[in-house]
Amino acid sequence: MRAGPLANPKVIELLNGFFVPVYTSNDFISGPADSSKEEQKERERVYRAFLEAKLSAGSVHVYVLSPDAVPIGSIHVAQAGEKDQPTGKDQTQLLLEKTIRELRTVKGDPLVAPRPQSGPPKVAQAADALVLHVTARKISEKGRGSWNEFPAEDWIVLSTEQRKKLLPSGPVHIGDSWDVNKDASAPILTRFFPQTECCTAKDSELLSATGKYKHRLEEQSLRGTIVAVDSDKVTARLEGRSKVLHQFYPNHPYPPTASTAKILGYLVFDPTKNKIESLRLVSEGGKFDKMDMGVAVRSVPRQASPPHDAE
Amino acid sequence: MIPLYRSFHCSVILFILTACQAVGDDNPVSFADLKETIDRRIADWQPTAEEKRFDQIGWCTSLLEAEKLAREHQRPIFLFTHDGRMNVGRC
Repeated sequence: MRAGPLANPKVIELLNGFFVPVYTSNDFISGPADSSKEEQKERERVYRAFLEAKLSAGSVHVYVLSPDAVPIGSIHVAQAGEKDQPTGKDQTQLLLEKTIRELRTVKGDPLVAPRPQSGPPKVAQAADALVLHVTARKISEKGRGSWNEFPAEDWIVLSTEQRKKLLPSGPVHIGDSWDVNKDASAPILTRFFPQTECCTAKDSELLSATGKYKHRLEEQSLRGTIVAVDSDKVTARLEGRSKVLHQFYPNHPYPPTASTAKILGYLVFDPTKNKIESLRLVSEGGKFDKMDMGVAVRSVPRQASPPHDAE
Repeated sequence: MIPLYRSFHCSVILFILTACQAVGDDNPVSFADLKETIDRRIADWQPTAEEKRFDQIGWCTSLLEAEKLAREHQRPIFLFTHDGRMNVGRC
């Protein structure tokens, strides 16, 4: 959907000019508990209202409602991007145009300003948190076929304790090496896998070894070597490897996919304050089963991006 | 026919060249080169604007907020329900 109708310039224009667009994740609601309950109640009401109106409804579905939240039309996600032969328009665009015609909606500006939908979680605003952004993409299949149209992104927030465990202990000299504590490297390297069929918004399910995805960081290592020492700045190169096992479809009987990578990177830190100025990692010769995979990790300054509501 | 000592010299030179190549493949010759490689890869692998066209849509953050705006502005609501997190591509 994201790479289909929601990337169609005409659909984007119609949604911004005539509609109030919203997307929701089935097992996740942001915000305080009270408002979350109300939101959940309303989601359930909408689902039932479509069924009562004899319109299609489902968990992964497009719905159009009137300004008073009454069902107007709906499309299953599998049909939302299908082209209408005579017009060449996708089914989503046709539904939007039909709604505009029937309601005689007047065009206006977007009611909410468009903004990047992926951003650091709110918890990242904590003063000493280390915020990392991960991009994992299939390189050889880029843009071709489902789960290959765009990369997976992850936001990782390391606590003060985890952040400290990335660093060597004691005084450092050029040439010194150390093994990065696995408590600090595991939350990063467990994300070294690209887009798969993901049916949950909860990391506790997605990254669980005993859950539907049988997700495991099977192998990992990260070793640092000091390459430069200044009074308040130390630079180290990082090398390592990762192997992540992950069931492509939840609860599927097939063997899990294997994402493997050698890792290169560097770390710049202030040893007097145990503060990390920059952490960067990339995969080298990464593989997602037989496909080429690229993973990039970068630390993000706290003020670089506003917190995202979806957390 | 190549004399034995010349063959030996050729082998030594070949070994040195191969070893240098192997080192070059596994470890960039300097930290500056390594850093450049890493920075370039990170830039190359970031999501592109083309891959994030849906960012151009002015999305509400909840259904309740969408319904409130819809009533106020007399606009229909477009709702897409999904599994996972569409915003980060884990869906």
